[in-house]
Amino acid sequence: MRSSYFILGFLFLALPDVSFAATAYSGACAPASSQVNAEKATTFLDQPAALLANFADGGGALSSTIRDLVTIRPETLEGIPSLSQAASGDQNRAIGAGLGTAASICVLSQPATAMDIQAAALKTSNEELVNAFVSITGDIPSNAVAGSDPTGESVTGGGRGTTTTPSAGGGGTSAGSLSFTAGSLTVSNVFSAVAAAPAVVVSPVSPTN
Amino acid sequence: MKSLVTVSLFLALNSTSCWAAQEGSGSALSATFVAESRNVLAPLQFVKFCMNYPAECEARTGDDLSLSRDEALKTLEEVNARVNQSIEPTLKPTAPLTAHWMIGPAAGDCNDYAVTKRHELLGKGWPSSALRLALVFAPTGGHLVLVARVKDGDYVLDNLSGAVKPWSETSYSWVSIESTVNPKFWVAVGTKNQAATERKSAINAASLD
Repeated sequence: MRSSYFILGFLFLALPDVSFAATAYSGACAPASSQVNAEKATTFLDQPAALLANFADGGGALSSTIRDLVTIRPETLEGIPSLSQAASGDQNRAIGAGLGTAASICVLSQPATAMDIQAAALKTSNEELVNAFVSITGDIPSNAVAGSDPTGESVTGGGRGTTTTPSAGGGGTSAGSLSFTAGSLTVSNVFSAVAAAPAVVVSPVSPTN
Repeated sequence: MKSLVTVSLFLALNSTSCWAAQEGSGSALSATFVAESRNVLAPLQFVKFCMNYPAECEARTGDDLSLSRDEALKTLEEVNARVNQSIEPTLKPTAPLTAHWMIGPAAGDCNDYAVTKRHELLGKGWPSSALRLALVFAPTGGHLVLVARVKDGDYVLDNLSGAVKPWSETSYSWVSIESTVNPKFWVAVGTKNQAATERKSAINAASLD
């Protein structure tokens, strides 16, 4: 009898992994969680904007909620454009930071999901969201121009009379390039809040390496 | 003697095993292969490029080309020179929502040159695994080039250079490159020393066989 209880207890403990395998989206990059289950994903997709009521000022809590939603339930990416449309500037910055964190996590084990997250950020066409996103991911803009040098050596600037100069407005490579207005969400509190939130478990297995 | 260096384009998975056969061919340029490291996020503008030109980001096996190393390099030099001449160098916006990479524009920046060269070589039957966009740091900042793989190593097609050079002979800091496994995914670039070490290992391993 005691052994039966042991077996039942073992099965109960093993349940989260079983549910992850059975119900999670194939591109998920974090194991299932009771806080982000299928029901909550469906509720979000039914009415994405409803999520915003709990995070009127955006902030790290909204960022970590978005991070958890898309890493555990990538199908919720479908609701991101609607969510962004209904969001304020502060909320969009928080959503962008959450998506950026999620993409950085997912690329380690699920590069396809990471790319889906990047596409979802772009599809919002929201400048505040996308700028917050690239400030987290460290996206490096590229725009070098010059003419072909007949000597074969690289040239900086020049080339058919064109001068290469830094372009304003590019996605920065550091968090400091993201400009926040006074009183709004700051990069540091997004980082700290996201870091303070329960960490998702990321598989170290990389399908491409 | 020329028959000794007669090679065909090949998939990256077989790359290191081909080194021993190439040794002693007496080629003027000595090339190595780019060492792939961990998964990293693709440049955000690459994701947008794939949304705008989905066919460009699909894996293609290419035609059964039987090009010698010299023939392959001649093709690369021809495409590099022609595209460098056909696009007027122009600084374009780098802000995430306004930037976009185009194939064959009248005027453009490094991104447009690189994707146009890749498009032309795909059209000539080269496999996508042998044509990889790569992000580097040039003295002026982020820069996109095309890295083409031939039998003896990886060569760079660059709008800042009239010559097609082995990747290890450029002065750039290498950041990331498309994966040989899946053109949608990007990986970090290992150090040039790492590539040289892998080359030596491959040669040593081959000599023990």
